[in-house]
Amino acid sequence: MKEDKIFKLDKELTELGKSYQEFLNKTIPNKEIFFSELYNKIQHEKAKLNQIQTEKLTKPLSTFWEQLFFSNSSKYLFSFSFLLFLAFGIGLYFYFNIKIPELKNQETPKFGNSFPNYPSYKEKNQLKKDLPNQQKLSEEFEKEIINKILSEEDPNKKQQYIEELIEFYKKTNQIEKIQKIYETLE
Amino acid sequence: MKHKESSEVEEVFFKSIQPYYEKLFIKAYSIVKNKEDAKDILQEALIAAYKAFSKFKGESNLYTWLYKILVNKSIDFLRNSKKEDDLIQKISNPYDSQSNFFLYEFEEMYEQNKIFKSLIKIINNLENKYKELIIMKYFDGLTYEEIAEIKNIKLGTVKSRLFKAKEKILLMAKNDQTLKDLLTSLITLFYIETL
Repeated sequence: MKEDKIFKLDKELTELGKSYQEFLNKTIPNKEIFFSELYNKIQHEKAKLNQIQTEKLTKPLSTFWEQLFFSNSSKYLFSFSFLLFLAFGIGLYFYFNIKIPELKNQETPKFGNSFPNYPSYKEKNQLKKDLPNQQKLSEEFEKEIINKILSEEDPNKKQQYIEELIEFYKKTNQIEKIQKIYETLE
Repeated sequence: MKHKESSEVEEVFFKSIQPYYEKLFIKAYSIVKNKEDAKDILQEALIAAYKAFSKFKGESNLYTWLYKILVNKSIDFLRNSKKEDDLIQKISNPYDSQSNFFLYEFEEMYEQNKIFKSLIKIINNLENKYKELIIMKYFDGLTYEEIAEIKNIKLGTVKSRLFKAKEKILLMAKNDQTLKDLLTSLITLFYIETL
């Protein structure tokens, strides 16, 4: 029963569709006029396109950006990407050196991140060897500067040597000796 | 050489679109409901089609390809004209539910025909997805295959959706006494004829 109804409805819809098409057929404008207008419009569009293309071909590419994006040569693209790469590298360098100064001073661990920076066996031996030499050198320097103070007659120079000696004691952390100097001076 | 090629393309294009001129104009006119606008839109759509004609590989039917371009252009036109002047009630998309698909003159012509009058009322109030398919099938004269191609859906979906659309019309016709009477009388006639 439902199928019959749908079948009949189908017929009615076809009828209505046909009559609507017939009604609209009366409104169709003259085919020849329409196509001649369309032809003219297409010619106009073509002329416009040609003009744009010739303009593109004849106009010299003046700016760097025009050369970069519209030029057939790839050298501009290469140079631009190289500059970009360079700028990126410089940027990274300054970022790590200026923005994060603690990174600059950070010592790189010898055996990965899990181990502290202990000196190696070789380094330890070297330090042991160097220590007496350094001590010897500082003793010699101390003696020499004391001799200079004692032998110098010019008070200004004497003062200068004393200051040097105090500076030396400060560096070598010999505070008692500095105190002694001040006491004798007083 | 290039010039010769383009003129050849032009010739082929004009020859292939000419048989569809009437159908396409009717389609544009039924959407925008203004003769001049329909003419302009059809020309615009055909210019767009000409520009893309070299890319048209014939994988789809030429008529369905042109139909799609035209419908999109017409709906764009309606949308833009609505934007331009919101104060004036412009024609809305005829595929939308509650909006008039038929031209006012046509509805007036069938004012006395109770069946057509009821059908027009029901079709106008159908849901968008059903209304669109009913229009394509019965008013644009498209085949099931062409509808499937245009809507990019399976053939089975087109058939089942159209069947559902007709069921909806019947359901809506239940409330319409004229159509109800007509359908029952037609069915009786159909049975008498088959006997």
